[in-house]
Amino acid sequence: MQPQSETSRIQLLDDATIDRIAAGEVIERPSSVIKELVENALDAGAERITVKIEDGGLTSLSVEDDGFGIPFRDLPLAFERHATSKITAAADIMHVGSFGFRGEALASIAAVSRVRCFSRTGDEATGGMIEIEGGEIIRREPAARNRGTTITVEDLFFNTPARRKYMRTAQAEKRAVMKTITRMTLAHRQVRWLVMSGKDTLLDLHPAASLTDRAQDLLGATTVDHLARFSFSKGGFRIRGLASRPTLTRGNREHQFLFINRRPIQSAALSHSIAQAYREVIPAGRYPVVIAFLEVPTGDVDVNVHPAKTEVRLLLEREIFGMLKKSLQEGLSLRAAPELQPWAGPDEAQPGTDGVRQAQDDFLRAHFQRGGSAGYEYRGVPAGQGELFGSKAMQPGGESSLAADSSSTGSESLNSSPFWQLHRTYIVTQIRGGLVLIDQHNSHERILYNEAKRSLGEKGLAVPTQQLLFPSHLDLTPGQIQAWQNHADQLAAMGFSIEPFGGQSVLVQGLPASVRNWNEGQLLLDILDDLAWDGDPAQEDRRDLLASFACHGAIRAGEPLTVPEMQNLVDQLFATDSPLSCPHGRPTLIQFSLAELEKRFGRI
Amino acid sequence: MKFEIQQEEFQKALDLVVNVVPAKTPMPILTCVLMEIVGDRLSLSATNLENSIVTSTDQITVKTEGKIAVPAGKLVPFVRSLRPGKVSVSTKDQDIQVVGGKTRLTEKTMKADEYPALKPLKEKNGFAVDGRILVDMINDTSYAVSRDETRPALMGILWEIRATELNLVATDAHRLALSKKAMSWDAPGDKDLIVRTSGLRHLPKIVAAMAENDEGGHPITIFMSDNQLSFLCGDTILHVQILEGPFPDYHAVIPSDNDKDLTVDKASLIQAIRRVSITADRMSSQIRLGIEAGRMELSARGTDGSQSEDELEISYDGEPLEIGFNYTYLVDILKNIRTESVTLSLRDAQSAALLRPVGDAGEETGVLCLLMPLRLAGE
Repeated sequence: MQPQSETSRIQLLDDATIDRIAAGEVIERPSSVIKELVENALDAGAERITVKIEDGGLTSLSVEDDGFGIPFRDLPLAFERHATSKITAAADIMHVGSFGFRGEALASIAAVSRVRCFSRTGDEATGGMIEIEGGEIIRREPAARNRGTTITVEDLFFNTPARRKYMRTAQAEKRAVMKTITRMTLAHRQVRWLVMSGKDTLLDLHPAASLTDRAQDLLGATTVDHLARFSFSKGGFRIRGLASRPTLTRGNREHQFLFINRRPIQSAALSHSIAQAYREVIPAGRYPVVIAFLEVPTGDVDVNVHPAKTEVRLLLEREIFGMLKKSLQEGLSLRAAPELQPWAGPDEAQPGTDGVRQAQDDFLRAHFQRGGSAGYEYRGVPAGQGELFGSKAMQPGGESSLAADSSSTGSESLNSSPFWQLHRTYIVTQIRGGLVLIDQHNSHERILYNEAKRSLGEKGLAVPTQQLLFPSHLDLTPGQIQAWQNHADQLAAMGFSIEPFGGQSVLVQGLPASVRNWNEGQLLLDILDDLAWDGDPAQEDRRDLLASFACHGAIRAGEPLTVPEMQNLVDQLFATDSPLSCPHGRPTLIQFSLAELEKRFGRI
Repeated sequence: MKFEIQQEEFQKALDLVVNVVPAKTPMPILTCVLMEIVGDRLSLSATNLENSIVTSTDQITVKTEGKIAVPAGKLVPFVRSLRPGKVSVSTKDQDIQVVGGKTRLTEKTMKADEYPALKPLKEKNGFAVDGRILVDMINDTSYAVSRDETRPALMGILWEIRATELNLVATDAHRLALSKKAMSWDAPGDKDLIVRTSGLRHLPKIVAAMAENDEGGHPITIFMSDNQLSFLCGDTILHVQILEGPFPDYHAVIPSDNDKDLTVDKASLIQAIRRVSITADRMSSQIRLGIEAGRMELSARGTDGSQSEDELEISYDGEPLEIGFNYTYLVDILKNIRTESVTLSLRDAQSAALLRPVGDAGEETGVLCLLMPLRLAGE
């Protein structure tokens, strides 16, 4: 920091500067402007809200409602700092039922953009308009309008270039806007919502009778089929909502919607509580779909932590944490159903591979008997105990005497190099001059990425499509539809055979032959989620698509692999041009040289 | 509890039940075999909560009755290692002692009361069938089940029980195996059940251990309840869990308009596939079959530029066709076909292929396999 010159003295900031600084607190990007304006519309009792954005809201955005309206004489006041119709004294803050109350949103927005506001109340014969630029009123005159308010915000941050520089691409902003609005449409089902981006209709939602109906509009019927209701109440607290059974998971938390007193919120503690509720019934790295409405007495929640109000402080956080977890577990029977028991490893269900894996486990058992890892803890004895320590069973890949019939065909001609899977996550194998530890997920990611990239780049190298016996019928969300339409050609070149099936549905007839984790379409939904609301695929997006495909399609940590599968994976990895890292840059393998081992054992 | 038993008899009974003892389980009690003496019979049970086996014998000399749960881990290999002859088993406090000749094993037992109770069979609703027919049908289909734990229903075999017929169907969404047999039995009405495959895989061993009846048959009795299908095979009962559906509508996907039929020697086809698969692309495992009158050309091309071809004689006089398959699926199906010849019915490069075993006299076997092709993008 530069030392201040002697001439600079402490002085009061002028109002315009204060407004601009304060604006940075509430208004971070177009989506926060929209959040504030939509909340105002909701507080005004709107039944119909129309949101329009251009370039993700960076050029222009507007929110139109049919609410109470602002009287003509109050229009200038509405854009004054700490002017609000919602509270009158500090004591009211802890009992706020409306969304806005700080009275700084409109002032902040007006300080950093060009705002036009048209409004008329039910009592007035004609409405009025006001135009403000950088906090200065430029125009104020009567204007015709139906009851309600329209606020248009143009050139956000035109007078704070530093802030403007921090805006991301129009696409990223659009995605953020859609995220904000999606949350609000879940909480306000009585409202007719229309969201437009340029000429495209992004959302067109009629008032929904139930949360399930609205969830179906936003998440698609397939997802809703996997959702179950849950509810819980205790004292003044109430929790209710919808959550997915463990049969449906997503690759990220994008589909977890939390509301406290109908206000969309983010809370690390509550997210953690959801993860806890589903622990052991869904794989690591997967997230359930959850829509949870928490109702807490207004005195017990402090929404005034941050001006944007998405972070809240709960007075009884630990209790609420427990209640959410319990309500999910009870509502979804996460502990009761037999198929949800903690997975105890492969039992006799997989003949053919068991012998091999058994031999592996036995090897590890013999060597790591005291190791505390549950995966290899010695419990019980399978059939054929007598033979297991024989030389035959100890040879990985050898035809084990236990294997009734071998399901892994084709790769019988293994070379002598052994492969062991550790903790169902890493592959260990011997190389000349040492050993390598290979991360099965990262390395498969690299293989899929390169394969898909090649198929997009060169015409003759398209990936074969495995036709499905039972085509998957998927219902897409509006965002997924857009992502699919934008990337249809690339997805086809990558080996997906997808056809429109009316409305928001598609029919998947075939898959890239190398895909492992189809999960009844979950793979495609995950990829489309990652690309949702993006614009036309530029070169950069293609990278996003490839990375998303590789990440979601790859073998996960925790998946058991047979020896031929491991051998195959390692061979393919070394056939790629960059076998040492995954597309995200994480390493695929760690190498230990014999020299290093010898040194550590004191041999040299 | 105290009894005496011949080593062979004891080992045979233990071998029957020990296969369901789970290798890894969060419930230690399940690593046990439950031993119980009531009257003059010894019964042994094991379960992994999904499948259970109970067997009993009266070839024992009972000293005192009782019920104990013994970890199978040391008991079973110990009994197997004993010389033939008399084995005496007794309990003292929490310990069990097994003595054969001069060899002695002492092992801690667990609380028998904690062992999950198995539901007794309701004798009324059973119906009889020859066990070997069931074993054949299970072997003809079980290889095609899915290993995808996200679709539990596809990990089971669909049993369509009809008044005069039984159909078993297994599929993993890429391939499907169906076995259809006419039955003369007293099945109680039409019933569709999805039965856990891991449990059904115990049936061949149990049937093999059964004594044949006078006509050389292996009569077993099937019992249906809400959540399990049970097989009474002589002195042994196998309970197999019924899975929740839905099972996909497989009738709709069996093609009826495949017009290109060809017959080929199964062993030659498997060998030819193995030969060309050496150059098949590792990711897709794709091989191509080119079919024309009298011959089939097999080929596979790797992404590294390597390529291999082979040729087979076939009986075919229709239109030429080229079609791609994942060779591991194809070999899997062929290996599980029990006849020497197989017919392939095809339509085009996108539609399901039908494979049927053909008996020596060209008769139908009631077995049908379906495989979806592997299509090159842009074709």
